[in-house]
Parts: sequence; C-alpha cells; structure tokens
Amino acid sequence: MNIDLIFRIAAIGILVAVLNSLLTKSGRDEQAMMTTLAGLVVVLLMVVKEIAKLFDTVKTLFNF
Amino acid sequence: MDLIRIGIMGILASILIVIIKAHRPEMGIQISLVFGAIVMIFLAGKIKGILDLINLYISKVNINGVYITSLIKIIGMAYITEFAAESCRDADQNAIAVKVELAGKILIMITAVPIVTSVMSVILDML
Repeated sequence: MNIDLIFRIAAIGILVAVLNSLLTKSGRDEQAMMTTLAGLVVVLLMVVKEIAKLFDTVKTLFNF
Repeated sequence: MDLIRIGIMGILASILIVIIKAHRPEMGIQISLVFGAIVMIFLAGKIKGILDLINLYISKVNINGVYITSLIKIIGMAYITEFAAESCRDADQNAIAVKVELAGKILIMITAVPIVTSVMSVILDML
C-alpha cells in the first residue's frame, strides 16, 4: 500500500495545469493541448499498470 | 492501524481530487481510480486469509470442491464487477456502469450453471 502513486498523479496534474495555462497565455494553444495529452497518457499508463495489478491479484486469489 | 492508514489515504486523495478537478477533471478521475485499485489490492491480501480459512474447513468436511471453487470464483467476479462499475459511475458514466454490471451478472449466472444443474438433478431424483 503506497500513497506516493496518488501524489505522483496529483503532481503531474498540477504540472500539466500550470503548463497548460502558461502556454495558453503565451498564445501556443497547440502545444498546450499536446502537453495536456502527454500528461494524460503518462498518468493513464500508471493507472492501467495499477489496475492490471489489481485484476491479476483478484485472478490468482479467486483462482479464475 | 491499517484502517487508520486507509482513512488518511482516502482523505488525502479526496483533497487532491478537489484541488485538481477544478483545472483538470480527467486527472481527478485517475486519482480516484488509483486509490480504489490500491485499497482493493490491499484488501485482496486480507481476503486471502479468509479464503484459506474457508478452504481449511471445506477440506475437513467432505464437500465437492467444484461447488466451492465456483462460489469463490463468483465472489471474485463480483469484486471485479463492483470495482469497474463504481469507477465508471465516478466518471459520471452511469450507462456504462449499468452495462458492466449486467455483463457481470450474466457471466456470474453462467459460472453458477454447474451448481444449478446439480440442484436440479437432486430435485429430479426426489420426484
């Protein structure tokens, strides 16, 4: 049970929000969207890994 | 101690979600997903102890193992279905959650077929 994954995702979210607002303010809307997308993909990879771990645990536990 | 830990983690995750949701709504959903996964993995370790206890007593009493394995399998399927459906509901996707639950129910019914057929055969023998 480790909470640092939650903190990591929150940090990525805040970073992406800040970068997004900075890039939008300086008129680079496409790059802002790219940052958003990149952050989303990175976080999604972490989340998918965790959920796969959960499903594997359940699979072995309840011997599917 | 574990309960206190989970409670603190839940409060922290909620605070982080509230902070982030204003700017990036999709990240809030990810945090709640990861929190759910972490807690469920932790609980799965605890459930193992209960299942071991059940299996110990089942091996002492002579019950056909097929019924118990399918029963445990059904519990696992319910566990996964519940997690997936609640995650969908968190993201305000009620329709998808209902479909996941429907799939879970039907697959559980299919898994329960051997039990039902044995009950039916017992009833037919009595008639």
